[in-house]
Amino acid sequence: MANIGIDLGTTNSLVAVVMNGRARCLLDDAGASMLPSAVRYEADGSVVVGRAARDEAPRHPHRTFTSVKRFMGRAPADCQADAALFRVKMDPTEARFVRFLVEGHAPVTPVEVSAEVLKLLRARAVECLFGEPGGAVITVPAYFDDAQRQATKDAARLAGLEVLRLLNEPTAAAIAYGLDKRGGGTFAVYDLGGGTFDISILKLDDGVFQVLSTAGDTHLGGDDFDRALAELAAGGADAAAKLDDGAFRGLVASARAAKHQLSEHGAATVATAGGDVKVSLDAFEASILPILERTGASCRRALADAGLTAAQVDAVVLVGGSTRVPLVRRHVATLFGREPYCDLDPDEVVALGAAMQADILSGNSQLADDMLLLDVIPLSLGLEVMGGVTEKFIPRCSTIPVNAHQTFTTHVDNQTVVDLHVVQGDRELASQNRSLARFELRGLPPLPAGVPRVRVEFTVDADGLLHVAAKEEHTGIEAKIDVKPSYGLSEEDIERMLEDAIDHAETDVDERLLIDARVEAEGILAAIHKALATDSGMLVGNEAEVIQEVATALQASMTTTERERISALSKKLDEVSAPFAQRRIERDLTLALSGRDADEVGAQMGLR
Amino acid sequence: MAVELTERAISRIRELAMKRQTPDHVFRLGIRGGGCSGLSYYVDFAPAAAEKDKVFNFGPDDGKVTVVVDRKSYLFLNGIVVDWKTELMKTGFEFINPLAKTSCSCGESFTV
Repeated sequence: MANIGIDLGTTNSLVAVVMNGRARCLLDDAGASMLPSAVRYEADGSVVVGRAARDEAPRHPHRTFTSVKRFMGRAPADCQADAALFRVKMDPTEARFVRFLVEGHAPVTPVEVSAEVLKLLRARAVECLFGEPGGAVITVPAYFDDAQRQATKDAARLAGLEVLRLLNEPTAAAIAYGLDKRGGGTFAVYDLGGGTFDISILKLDDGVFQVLSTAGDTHLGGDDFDRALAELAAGGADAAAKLDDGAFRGLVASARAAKHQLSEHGAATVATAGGDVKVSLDAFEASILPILERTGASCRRALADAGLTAAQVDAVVLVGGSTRVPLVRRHVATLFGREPYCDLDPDEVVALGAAMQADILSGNSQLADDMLLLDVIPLSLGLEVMGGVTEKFIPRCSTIPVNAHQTFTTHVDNQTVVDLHVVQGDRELASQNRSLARFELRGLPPLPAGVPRVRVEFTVDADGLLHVAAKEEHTGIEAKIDVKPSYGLSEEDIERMLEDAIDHAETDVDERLLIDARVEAEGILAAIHKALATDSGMLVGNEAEVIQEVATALQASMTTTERERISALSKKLDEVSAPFAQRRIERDLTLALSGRDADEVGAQMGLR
Repeated sequence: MAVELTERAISRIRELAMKRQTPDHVFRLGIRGGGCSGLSYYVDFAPAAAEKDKVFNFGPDDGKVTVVVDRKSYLFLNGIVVDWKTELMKTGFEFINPLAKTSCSCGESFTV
């Protein structure tokens, strides 16, 4: 169960995971890592998330939500301006929290909308990891307050994600560049996204990041570059303002496409109502310079707030798709007097850092730079369970430290002691594996078989020491033991044990399945004998003879190695005794309903 | 006898490798104890085949899918056909194992 990192962005969201020591973003069917943070609610109750919702937003303006991150954890009174700007209608009857009105659908909160985005990212992880992700590290802007952070956590929980930690976005970017590996330092993270700009000054001290200051503009970003280029192509801001909504939107879309061309080829054409217009890189750069000057002002303010000069910053990291524009890079280099880090994809860097943090939190990270953490367990560690079979807890080749737990129960009535036998090896039968330790969990209260819940936990710490703890969950009685599994084992021993496991695989598995069948048969026979002893009066017709006959046959078969015959007879005994069992249950229920003391009935039914 | 993949399974594995951005990883198929019917199948990606693994290649060189099976698992998987099914009730890999005597209804586990 790998942990995942999620960048829940204003415009786009991503999910990343560390696989074999390297963080990678997970892609959608079309090979894209970015999921537009856009959600549309359909009248039939279904929900459309991502690119389709974003692209079709103009056709469904009152059912589509974008940029909901701006509303997370905020009071309606504080975000009237954003509601107007993003043309969303808030529920006027709700003053405490934001609730959007949806055409043909019940109102939704920003938390619910964000949860839809997170659900899709979670599904992407489930698909790529062949199972549920462990936990998630989700990034938030450094300036998010407690309410905004709580709202983000609520959205994650609603999406079925376990939040390991919320991580500041600039910190995630710094981690992605490995800056956390430095002993200390002061870093600037320049994040220019589609519609927001953030500058954060971080201080690393003893491996812990502290946000010294943040500044920025919540309405400044690459969208402004598009608009500037559109106005340039249309022949000025005044001319662009005269265009109707549809024509202006088309012009901006054409400008956005041209922007990518410009950075690569030095010139591009923008399709306008009056024909194609050629724009040079110089003209484009001149048009966006005023926007960059505004980010420069924020940077100077952040530095001043942190009490630092640009020269005292040890590294600058670029985040956000808009930092791909070459002039932005040059501008940042001039501002801080050093070349910024830009090797990683600026759209993915925050998600990658979140994944790396999530991986480190998993406890069996290959990224954590402690050499010991690269150690692996040479042979599986397990416990001997009923019938002498090995139940593997920690499979071989797991990186340490590692932890696993399972819950067991007792096999006979009134059992007060549970014997725990810790073994090492990959054979199916415990007797053929290496015995590491034996200990007992004593003092269990006498209870019917199957009622106690004994949780056994295996932990191998960073030093390779195995700790096994057993705890009965109702009473809290516990016992534990520590062992050094590798003690006295040579490379050759390990190799030989692995070879044995392979050589004997077939017979081992056969034997294990036979034992499993016998254990199951024993359980059924014990239950039948107990029922016959107490309730034989409830048998009807020739039931007694039929049950006895099958039970005798099963008893006899158990001494043979005919596994399939044992299983078949177990199943048959279960079937022929089913009506009898049904009557007993009904009787017990009737007793329970007729006003008898519930505890008394429960005790009789073996529920206590 | 060997391990077989249907066309659907090959393209599904290729697609998953693309989505995970691990096109050079191999697809590991194996068994482990447990599941409702004794032994269960597992699948995952791994950076490379381990020493002594059985290795099977499918598809053209430029879109190659490599399946690896450890020796112990191979004893119970020899002759298996892996398919990818998208159905109303179940979407996932399907294992058609001639060595399995019984399978549970979910198809995830089996006995030999």
